[in-house]
This record gives sequence, C-alpha cells and structure tokens, in this order.
Amino acid sequence: MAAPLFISSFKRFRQMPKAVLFAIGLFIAGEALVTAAWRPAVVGADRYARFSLAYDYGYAKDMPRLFLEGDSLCYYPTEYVDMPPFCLDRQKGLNEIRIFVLGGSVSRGYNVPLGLAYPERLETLLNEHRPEFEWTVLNLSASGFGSTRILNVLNNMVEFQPDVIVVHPHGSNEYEDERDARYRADLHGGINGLLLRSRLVVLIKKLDSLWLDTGEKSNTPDNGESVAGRDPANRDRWFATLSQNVEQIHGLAEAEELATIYVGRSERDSEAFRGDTVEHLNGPIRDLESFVDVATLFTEEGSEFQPTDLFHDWTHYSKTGHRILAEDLYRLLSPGGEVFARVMDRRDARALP
Amino acid sequence: MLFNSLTFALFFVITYGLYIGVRHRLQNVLLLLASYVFYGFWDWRFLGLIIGSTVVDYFCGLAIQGGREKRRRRVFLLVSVCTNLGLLGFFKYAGFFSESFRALALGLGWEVDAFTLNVVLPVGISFYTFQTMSYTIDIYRGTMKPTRSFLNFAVFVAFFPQLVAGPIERASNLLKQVELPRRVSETAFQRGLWLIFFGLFKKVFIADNLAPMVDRAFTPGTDLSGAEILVAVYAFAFQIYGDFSGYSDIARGISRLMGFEIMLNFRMPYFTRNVQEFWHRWHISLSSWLRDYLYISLGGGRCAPWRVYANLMITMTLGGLWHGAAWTFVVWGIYQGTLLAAHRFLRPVFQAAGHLFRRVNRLWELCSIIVTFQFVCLGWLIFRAGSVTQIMDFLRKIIFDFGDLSAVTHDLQRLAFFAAPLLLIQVAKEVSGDMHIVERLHWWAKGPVYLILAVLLVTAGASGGRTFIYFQF
Repeated sequence: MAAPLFISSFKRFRQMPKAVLFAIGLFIAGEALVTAAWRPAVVGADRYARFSLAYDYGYAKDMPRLFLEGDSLCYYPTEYVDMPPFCLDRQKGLNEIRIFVLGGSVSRGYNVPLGLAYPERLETLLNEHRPEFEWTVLNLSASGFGSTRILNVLNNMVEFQPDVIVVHPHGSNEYEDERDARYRADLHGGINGLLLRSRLVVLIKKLDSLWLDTGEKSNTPDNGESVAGRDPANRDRWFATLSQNVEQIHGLAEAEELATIYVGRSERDSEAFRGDTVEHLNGPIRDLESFVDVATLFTEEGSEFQPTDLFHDWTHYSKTGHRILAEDLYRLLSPGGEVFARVMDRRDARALP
Repeated sequence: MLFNSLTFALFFVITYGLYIGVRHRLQNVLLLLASYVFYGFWDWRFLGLIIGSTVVDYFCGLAIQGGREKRRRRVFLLVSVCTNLGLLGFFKYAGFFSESFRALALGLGWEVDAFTLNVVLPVGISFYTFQTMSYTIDIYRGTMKPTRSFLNFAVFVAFFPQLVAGPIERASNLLKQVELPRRVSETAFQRGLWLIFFGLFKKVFIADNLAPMVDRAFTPGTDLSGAEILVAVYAFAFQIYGDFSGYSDIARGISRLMGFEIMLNFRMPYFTRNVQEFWHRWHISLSSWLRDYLYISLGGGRCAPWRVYANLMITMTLGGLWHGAAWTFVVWGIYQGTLLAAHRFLRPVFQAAGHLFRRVNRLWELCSIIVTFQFVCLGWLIFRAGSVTQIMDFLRKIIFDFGDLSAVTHDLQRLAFFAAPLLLIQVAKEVSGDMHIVERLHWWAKGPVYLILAVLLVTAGASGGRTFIYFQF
C-alpha cells in the first residue's frame, strides 16, 4: 500500500541527498588526502613517528615503544597525539637522578592538562628547589595499565638506570590487563571500530584532544571494571595477580637497588564499587615500606572521596589532588625524607670504585 | 528511553515504519500505543497517572462544554485543575513542603515528628499536566471546543515526541493536527531530519561535553575561584540551552517526520536585547502558558502599576517553582520577576537611550545583548546552585575573590570549542534574519556544514548518553 503520509514521493527529495552525498564525498576526499599525505616525506619523519594515527591509546601490547636516536634511548609513553618522545642518554650524568613513575591513568594525569599531573609537578618542584641535582621524572604510566603491564614496562625500562621508581597501581586495571584482547576487539568493532578505521576521524579526534588539552580520551565503557569488580572471583584473582607482580617488582627493585615508593589508597568506598573494600585494589602494597597513602593524604585535606576539588571523579585526581601528591613525594625525596637517604646511599655505593 | 540512545532509535524506526504504512485512524492508534510504550519505559507504574489525567480532562472538557450554567462549568474546570495540580503537588512538592515545614519548625524551636515523603517524581508530569489543563481552560474560556474522540485526546496528551520535556503544546494546535489526516511535504521532511540531527548535536556535542565542567564547579565543597565559577556559569548557560533546545529540536524534528508541526520552544534566546524579549524566546511554550493562563488571569498588564509588578512577581515565582521543588528555583523565579518588573519600570529610559544611540544602533544592540546575557547568566547561577548558601558563596567569590584569569584558560578553551559551532550558526541566523538559513543553503554549501557537524559529533561528541536536564522538571 502506498504510504498515505507523504504528499510527494521520495524521488523528489533531491536537495538533501545531494548535500549528504556531497558531504560523504568530501569525507572520502579528506580520508584519501590524509592517507596519501601521511608520509614521512610530507609531514616530516619526526612528526610522522610521533603523530601515530593508530587509535590504541596505550593498549598496544608492545608498549612502551623504544627506539634509538643517536646515543639516546627514546620511548613513547602513550599514543597521545604529538606528545614528544622521552629521550634519555644511555649514560646517566653524574648529578642526574632518575625517577620512573609506573602506573595507570591516575599517574598518567587523566583529565588534567598536560604538565599538571603529579609526576610532571614533582619534576618541576625537585628541579626548582633541589638544583644541586639534575632530576628527571619519567612518567611511564598509561591509561588502563595494570600491574602486569607495569612490570613489563619496568623490565623494558630498567636499562635506563632509574634511581627511584614510583609504583602506582590501581587494582581495577588488572581487569584492563586481562581484557586487553577483548578491549582491542571492542575498539575495532561495531560503529566505533568503523569510525576508528578512518585516519581522518582519528586525526581529528587526536587534534581535538590536543587542542582541548584533555590528554588521553578513553573510549572505555566506564562501568565495565566496576561491574566486573563486584564479582568476588574477579577480585580474588586480581588480588593474586597484583600480589604476584608487586612481588616481582619488589624483587627487581632490590636486585637493582632501586628506591621504591608505592602510591595507592588504603581506603575506598566509592559508589562505583558499591562500597567494596580496596583489598583487591591496593591490598598488596598498602603494608609495604614507603607506601604513600593518598587516602590519608587527601582526608587531611578534607576530601570525602567524591568529585570535589581533589577528585575529578571517583578515581582520578583533580589538578589540586595531583599538586598535593606531588608535594608529598617531594618531601620524601628531599633531605630528611626517607627515600632521599636511600637514593644517596645508592649513589654513594655506585660511586665507589 | 532517551532520544540520544540506540533503544530510542530502534523504537522510532519500528514505529515510523508502521506509521507511514497505515491510514489516519490507525496512525493515531499506533501513536497512542507507541507513546504509552515510550512512557512506560521510564516506569510503567506511572502510566496510570497519565491515563488518569487523560480520562479526567477528557470528561471535564465535555462536561464544561455541555454545562449550561456557569457554576457547573466552573465546577468541572475546578475538578480538572485540582486533579492536575493535585497530582503535580503530591508528586513534585509534597516532600519539599513537608521538609521545609519541618526545617522551619525546628528553626523556631518546635519539635516536629520527622515526616518525609520519598515520592518518586514521574517524568514529564509538569509538562503533561500543564498541557491538559490548558485544554480544559480553553474550553471553559470558549476559545475551543472539546474533542469527542477519546483516542485523539489521549494522543494529544501522550504524544511521545514532546511528552517528557515539552514543548507544552496547546490543544488548539496539536489536537487539531491529531484529528486531521497528516501530510509531509518535502521541505518539512528535510527540515525534520535537520532538526533531529542538529538537536542531537546540541545535546551530545555541546551540552554533554560541557556538563562535567559545570558539575565539577557546582559540586558542594569544591573550592574554586570567582573566575572558575564564572566560566562554569557561562558553560552552564550553553549546557542548558544545548540540552533543552536540543531536546525540543529533536521533538519537533520527529513530529515533522510524522506530519505534525509542534510549536517552536526556543528562538535564539541569547541574542535578546532585554529580559522581556528573553522570555519571548526562551522556553516559549512555558512562558506563553504562564502568560495566557496565569499572568492574564491575574490581570496582566492592564491594571495599576503596582499590580502589574505584583503579577509579574507572582507569575515568575510560580514559574520558578514549576521547575523544581527547591528554594533555589523560588529565588530564581523571584529574580526573573524582579528583572521583568525593573525592565518594565525602566522601559522609558531604555527607549530614550535607544533613540539617543540610534546612529550606532548596531553597537547599542550588541551592548544590550551582552548585558542581557550577563543578567541571564546570573539567573543560571541561581538556577543551577544546589542551595541558597551556595548562591551566596559563589556571588561572594565572583565579586571579592575573582582570582587569576589565567587559571581558567583551559576551561575557556573548552567552552569556546564546544559553543563555537552553535554560535556561528546562530550569528548567521541573527544577522541574516533567516531562521532557516542552513536549510536554505545550496547543496554544495550545505554539504560541508553537514560534514563538519557530523565529524565534530563523531570525534568529540560525549559518550555515555546523559539524561536531559528538563526530565527532572
């Protein structure tokens, strides 16, 4: 039966399809242009290498990406657009102290402007107030990294001769480590996957996040880990993995005589986890030496573990939260601070013939 | 079932597929069923309320029309008004008034038993109760005749595109369209699609992206400088506009695809030159409802000056309370009433100034728009605040503790990015005086506009499908 609703047939709907077809044509042309022009010869080798049009955002299995540049070892911490690679001389300067921060999105600085996460703030503080040393804080964190990938990063990076490692695991990222393969399938499946196959879309998406200074923009469905976290079996398994990996990190740090600082939260009663304890999140590290308890630190500042001036959301810190944590770590690394003494001991030991 | 969800997309595709294939009466049956399914998706238990309200108003409408004595007509009008206001009062305000009474009593040192009502607010109740009330009031006033068809009336009350967040339709417009066979012209179909697309853009790209910035600033306990608060208030101005007008656009677009023309709810309200004009362009369906059924009933502008000011205050205060059961909305209503009264009082001054600056008319208009926007934004601060204490705290900070502007560069950048596409389109509309300028563009100019908006939507649209702000009202 002919549709009685329309006074004209669809054949007459010319203007809109023309405009839509033209828009699609423009999109295809843009896509072709980006694909054709995205060559080292056109955009420059450096930009080409840094400005990856892949949309993995740190979920690639081969992270961190290492490469040699002259006498330096360089690496990309994430796929974040246009973020310069960190390059370190293979040989460390006499006065140089290297601190590696290993963690997930919190230490990466999720949702705070670039340069305002606590690792970057810590480097600024140390270089400003302790100019007798040359401080390098290398933020090796990436969103979603759990202890397995943290350990992997540390194993890869230990040849960069860190003096201190700051280990900041977030237990629910164990879920991210486990689901890596599935996540990548999700990322590349459905409408999202179709869109992310477009280099033009990825380029614009990355330019958006660069211009808006939002750092990483996660496509992760935000309730996946909290839902999984309600299952006691998952929590037990995560706890076991975290314990095992922390033990290995600890072993490696001892073997390399690295001073280690663990950062985490001894308490957590957030809505996202329906009031579950933090046992599976930070349990294995909270009794360790040099555990910086953000729960205590922030509670002293009046935080109630909800989005306030210290928390951007239930998990990630605000700019102020990052500042407070950076200042606390700075105290530990200053003369009189417990870590400082160990760093000095290590330097002295190494200086011996 | 949110407009910006896949569930709704599926629901609409199925409904529309069936709808275009059947004749008028079956279309109305289908619309009623679809509307009840749509509403039942929120909470099926509230279907009883909407059906109850429909039945009462249907019979009251007939009884008012059939009543020969004025007293009898008035009784049925009262039944209709009391039923609707009763529903609204119980579900929306009972908890608020009992809690306020308790707080007042405690303040006076009286011990009062804790009596708190935990009533869940049925979504859209403020909208459909006002819609059905206008029907019976219009019949009582003799400006329209009741419908004999219960089906048509039920469709008018529950019409799903505008059921939960307006526009608050009048029977003289929507019911007539329900009663008559509908046709969709080529232009209407195109504009309908455009409205749906642009409404989604306003919601997902503008409103939902600005929401976290606003939520963070208005979270109790957050210590922000005046500059940060001010930027958050500006962000809220665009968030609420994007959210609410986005919903209205989608509602109008869906209606157009089905052959309905529902009323315009927003006409670029931030380009207004004074607060009175703002209320002619913001939430038009509510402001015109308040004007026609409250302000004019109180005497409107045709009485002594003090009565006119009182009428404005009463109308806007109740309008404020319509938005929600909280003292901040009452304060907001009083603020809007005061602005309207002040504007009315100072109108000769504004006219003289306009005459004085007629040589630089454009500049004068621009200044008026900017100043009016500041007053509107002050209103948004009151509207969005969680408590009267927060309003005072924020105002104090903006005035006395403004802080460093450089600290808000990042937020300003975000605000500019998300508001710019909307502003560009609206400036083009305002300057050209053509509300349909985008739709009227030639296809080769329209194509890039579609592409840019689509790419922005895809690459920077907020994920997560936040609910619309006006659902809570």
